[in-house]
Amino acid sequence: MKPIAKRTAAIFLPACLFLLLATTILRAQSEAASQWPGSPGRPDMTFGTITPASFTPPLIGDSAPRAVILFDRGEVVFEDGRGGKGGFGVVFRRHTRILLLHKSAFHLAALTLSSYRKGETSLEDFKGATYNLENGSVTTSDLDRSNIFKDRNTNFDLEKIAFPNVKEGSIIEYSYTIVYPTIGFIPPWSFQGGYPELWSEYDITVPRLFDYAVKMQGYEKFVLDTVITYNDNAPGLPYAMSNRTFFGNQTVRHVWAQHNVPPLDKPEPYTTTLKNHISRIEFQLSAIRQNNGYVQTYSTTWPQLTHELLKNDNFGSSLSDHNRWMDEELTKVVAGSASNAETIRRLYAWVRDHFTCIPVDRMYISQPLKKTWEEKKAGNVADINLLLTAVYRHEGLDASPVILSTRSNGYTNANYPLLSEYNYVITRVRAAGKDYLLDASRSYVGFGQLPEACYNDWARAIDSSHDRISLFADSVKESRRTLVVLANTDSGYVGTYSRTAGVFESMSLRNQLKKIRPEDFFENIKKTFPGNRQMGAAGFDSADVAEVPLVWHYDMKYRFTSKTLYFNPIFHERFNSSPFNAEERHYPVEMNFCIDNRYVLNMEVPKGYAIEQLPKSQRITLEDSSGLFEYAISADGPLISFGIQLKLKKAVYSVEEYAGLRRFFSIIANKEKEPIVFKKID
Amino acid sequence: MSFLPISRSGFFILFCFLSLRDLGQPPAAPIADSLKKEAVMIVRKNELEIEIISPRKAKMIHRYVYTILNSRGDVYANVHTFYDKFHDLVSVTGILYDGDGRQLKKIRKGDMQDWNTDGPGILMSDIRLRYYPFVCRNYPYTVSYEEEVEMNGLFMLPEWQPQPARNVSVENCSLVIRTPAGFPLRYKTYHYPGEALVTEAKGEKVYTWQMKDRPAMAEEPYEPAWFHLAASVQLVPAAFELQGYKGSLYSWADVGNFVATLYQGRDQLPDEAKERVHQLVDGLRDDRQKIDVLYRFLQHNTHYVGIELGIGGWQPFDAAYVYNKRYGDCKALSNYMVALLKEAGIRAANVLIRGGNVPALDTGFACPQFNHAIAVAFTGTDSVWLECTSSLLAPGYLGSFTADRDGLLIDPAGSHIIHTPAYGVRENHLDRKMEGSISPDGSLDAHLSCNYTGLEQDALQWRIDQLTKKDLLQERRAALGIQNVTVKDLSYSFDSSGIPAIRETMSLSAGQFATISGDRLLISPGYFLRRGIGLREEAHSRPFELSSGYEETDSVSLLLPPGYQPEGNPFNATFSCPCGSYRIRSTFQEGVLTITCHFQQNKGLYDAAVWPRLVRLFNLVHREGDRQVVFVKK
Repeated sequence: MKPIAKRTAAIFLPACLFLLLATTILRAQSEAASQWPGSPGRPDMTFGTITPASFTPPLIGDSAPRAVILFDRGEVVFEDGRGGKGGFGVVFRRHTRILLLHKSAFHLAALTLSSYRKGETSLEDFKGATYNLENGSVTTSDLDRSNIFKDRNTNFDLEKIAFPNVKEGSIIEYSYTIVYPTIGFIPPWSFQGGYPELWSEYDITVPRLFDYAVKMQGYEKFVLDTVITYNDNAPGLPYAMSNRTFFGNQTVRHVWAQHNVPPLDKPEPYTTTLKNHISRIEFQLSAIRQNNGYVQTYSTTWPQLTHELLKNDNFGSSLSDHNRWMDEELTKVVAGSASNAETIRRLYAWVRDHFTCIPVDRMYISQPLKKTWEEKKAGNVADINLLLTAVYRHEGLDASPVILSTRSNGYTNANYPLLSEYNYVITRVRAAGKDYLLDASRSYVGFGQLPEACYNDWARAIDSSHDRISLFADSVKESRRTLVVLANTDSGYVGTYSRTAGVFESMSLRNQLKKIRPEDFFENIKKTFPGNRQMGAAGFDSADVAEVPLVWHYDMKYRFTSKTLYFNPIFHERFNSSPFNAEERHYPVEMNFCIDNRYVLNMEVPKGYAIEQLPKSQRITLEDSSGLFEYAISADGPLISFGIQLKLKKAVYSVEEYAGLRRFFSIIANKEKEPIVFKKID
Repeated sequence: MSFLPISRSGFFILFCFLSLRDLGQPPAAPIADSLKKEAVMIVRKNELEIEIISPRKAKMIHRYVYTILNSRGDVYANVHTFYDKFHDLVSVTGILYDGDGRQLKKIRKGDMQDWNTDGPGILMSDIRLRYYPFVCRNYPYTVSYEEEVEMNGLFMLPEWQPQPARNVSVENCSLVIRTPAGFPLRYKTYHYPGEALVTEAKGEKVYTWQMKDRPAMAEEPYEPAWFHLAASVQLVPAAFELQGYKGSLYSWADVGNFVATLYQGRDQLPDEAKERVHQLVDGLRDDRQKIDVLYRFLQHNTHYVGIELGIGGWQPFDAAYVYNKRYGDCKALSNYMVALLKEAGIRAANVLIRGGNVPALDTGFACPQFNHAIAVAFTGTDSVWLECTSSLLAPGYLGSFTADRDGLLIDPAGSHIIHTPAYGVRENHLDRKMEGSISPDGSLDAHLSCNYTGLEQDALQWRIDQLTKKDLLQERRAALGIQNVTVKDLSYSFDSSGIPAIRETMSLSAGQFATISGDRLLISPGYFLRRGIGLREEAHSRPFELSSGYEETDSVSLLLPPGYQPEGNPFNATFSCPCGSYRIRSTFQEGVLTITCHFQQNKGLYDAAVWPRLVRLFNLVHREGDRQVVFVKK
């Protein structure tokens, strides 16, 4: 795979591009004719056309793959009468052929297909076969009933297929159709997965009645990206456009294909989600043309989308209600509040601490706000945070929902609104010229803080401002402060360790402390102690106040006996090895936040010992000065002052910057191994 | 691999129908402090009632009230029940109460999610799951649950284990079974204080077990799994009827003979398969060779697909099906293997197993609970064990999932208990040898060769098989744990003639392997030595278990840059106790540091009194393995 210079922003092509091309039909068609279907590398995708040569495809790369996707073809057509109310339905056909080279890929030959029962999608026309090359000729094992099992669960009907006669070197092939009864959804398509793909093609044919926004992402090139416009029904379509009294009767066909796509399925450390990096294409309905020429647009602008969301019963509809059922309780909560700022804080803490969130990230509520309120029971993130918004509005404050996509859910596009990309909602409240972004869904998140998962580029305020809100990982800093003091006393060589955790570390520790006891936490710390160190009193400060950084600390005592002491001055935060172990990186390093760590240790030379050797002070920086590591040590008589500082001013590093970042951390890891050497004075 | 789940991860024991009567308010009485200690949840009430009407029919009512004390007990608020076509879930009521006993939520059967139980390794299964997760995060809170199940056909009865985990206390539990007076109910209690109360009146026999006020226990490290210690009652209907089959279950032979009837006639191979068998083995003289060839034939030509269907998961797809489809689940593949062996004239049998870390089969109490099947072939007096779901294992070798345990050999002429091979200190070895040199700038160049045998090679063998060359190299590199290391010439050789062995060799180089600080040079040889985790120095009050035995030897030879002399003591430590032993030594001669290290762990269940010695052993290994060696320029 080629390294990519920068994280490529997803490219958006509104489907109106179809229309532009449609006006220059001739050009489009001639281009299409020259490229497709006879474009280089495009295999014969007729079902069952297997030849002995199919078993030895030209392989890409030097690594022996466990399976090769010979081709994966998706096709979408619109069919009249297949819709839920008799209109158009979206018919998705998939046809895949896979060469299984190693038994570890045999799970590909045990397939589970599902169709969403509540969405009334239907799974049809499954067809499959296994092919083997035996003595130079191809044998075919067709699938029959005994290979197919029907199953179901709460939401899905399942069809499970076990391909017969599979061995190393077999080819399996299958095709099936899924019908979606609404034109609101065109299935997305991934050109890249866990195995190399020789050919991946998506072919969609859309009546000009409908426009879709198209989102493309990834680092692989398209070998085919072709539009054909038909003035009437496209060949092979089960309906004739000209029979309909539409404003337009054209059909637009768009084919995308990629060739020799390398696998991408193992995330490297510091990856938001591979979903951000695989080669993929997604759609969202943007407009429907009515008979009378009226064009109904859908959610193509933030103002439109905001309007719709605020009307939506599962999102904002009750935010504009009076919600009188809150009156009594909220009066008590805000009673005696001196200012808006105080009211805002009180209401936040009240919602966070009185409602239970099952940490399911959702943008839509699972039940009416009133029900969440009355049962004081669990809700998802939207149930809690939209309730928070409603509570603020009830008290006459300027509050709005802010939607975002969490890091593991993938980036959203900054320019084009695709609602399906969002999975989380928080609250923005403004008072006295100040904006607060609040998340009341987690007990360990404090006022004005957001979980690290929320820092994923852009968020969007759902109100008349339509504000784009920057939540870049680069914009947040995790600061950690550690202080260690060690001294000779009457009771021996003793000291204290105290770490003020950063915001995110505090959240994570507070969350941990719900599952483990503080004793257990310190037991684990003790396990890392050298034999001559013992732990005394230990504890947490501010464990219950989410707004304040958590502090953990302990007392310690040493017993020195050996002739030579090797004393590493860094406790608990040494990099034992570089976090960037892989020699190369194929996509950017995406850390959750910038870093600002300071560590200070002041110690007396232990009684009876003298300094034999001090490590040297050292300072290194990253090439663009975004990273700094400083190791400073000095002795003044019996006192040693030691400090380290690690700063990373960026959270995202490109593939080009990777080698430098790796070197930087490897120097740090090595430097941090150096001990102070003391010698016993005889 | 399971065809009858003994337990499912994330859930409790299957059919562990814990329970209670008045599904109204949770018990108002306060919980005794002695029960709250160490507990995440209190079983306030738990009543399981089974009414056996006939060998074909039974009714079960299960009621329970759980009070959840803290977030670690939340898992008990996920009410769930497994069912299949022999267990008809008639009704369910579940209620969530807050700490004051106010009802927050009530559910019925229809509110529960309905799931199939497929998953990794299981494509299809008859067993289904009803599930509802109550959520409350204000502690304490209480969940009460009641379900009624009708059994159509008796074969397995639920196991009663009223205290589901160490960190759960029990206030009040009971198991009540009603049967017609003459019904042959067999049962056995484990860790249950006292005897069952048995009464008989009006043609009905009633068995009652009760348990009260059992406090939770603090967890101690290396304790045996909870099921070894938990009070439980196993129930077996000695007369049963299942889907048209009738039988008795008085002995292991009875269990096996019934299973044999389910297998009957399913070993018929198509003619084409028979021909293949003869082509493969007719030229061979030695039975052991024939077994190896046929097992390899199975491994190369069929694979495991988890389709756990048929008579509650007891009846295999027949041999012809497996031959034609080239796949099957554990029992179908084993049955096919046995058919191939028989065609070659070799005595062989199916063996039912409780695989993995589950309660062992009780040879003294026949009870039809298994989760796996394997095959065994006989050559004279030798047994050759065959794990037929693996495309990887050497013939005759079993992995840790099935090794060293009793299984039930299925033989229409007389089924019986048979023990699978154990792999211990003699078989499980890792021998590591590293020779290298450190350059003046601290970088390392070295050659590493490792021999893995027995259970020590299982994980590596799996990786070699599953990963592509590139991923394997990456994995081995990462496993070294050395930063900036580059691995070259990674190669493997295998010996599967006896206990399987893998020899791994590689060259490696790593910049900044040694830290140079002023006049000193520091290295951490632990990357090439036995390492371990430290244990807390505190008393252990109950027995502890080491679940495997093995031996490791390490030898490191490192050439230092000229001019350096060691500072401080060489490695020199020895310790030995019943649990194992450790010895490490080092010398420095002519610029070469040589370290030799030997570690042995002995499998076993040990008395709590031995615990301090295990702590000493493990902490010594931990300390030495993490030690930095320092050299100073003279």
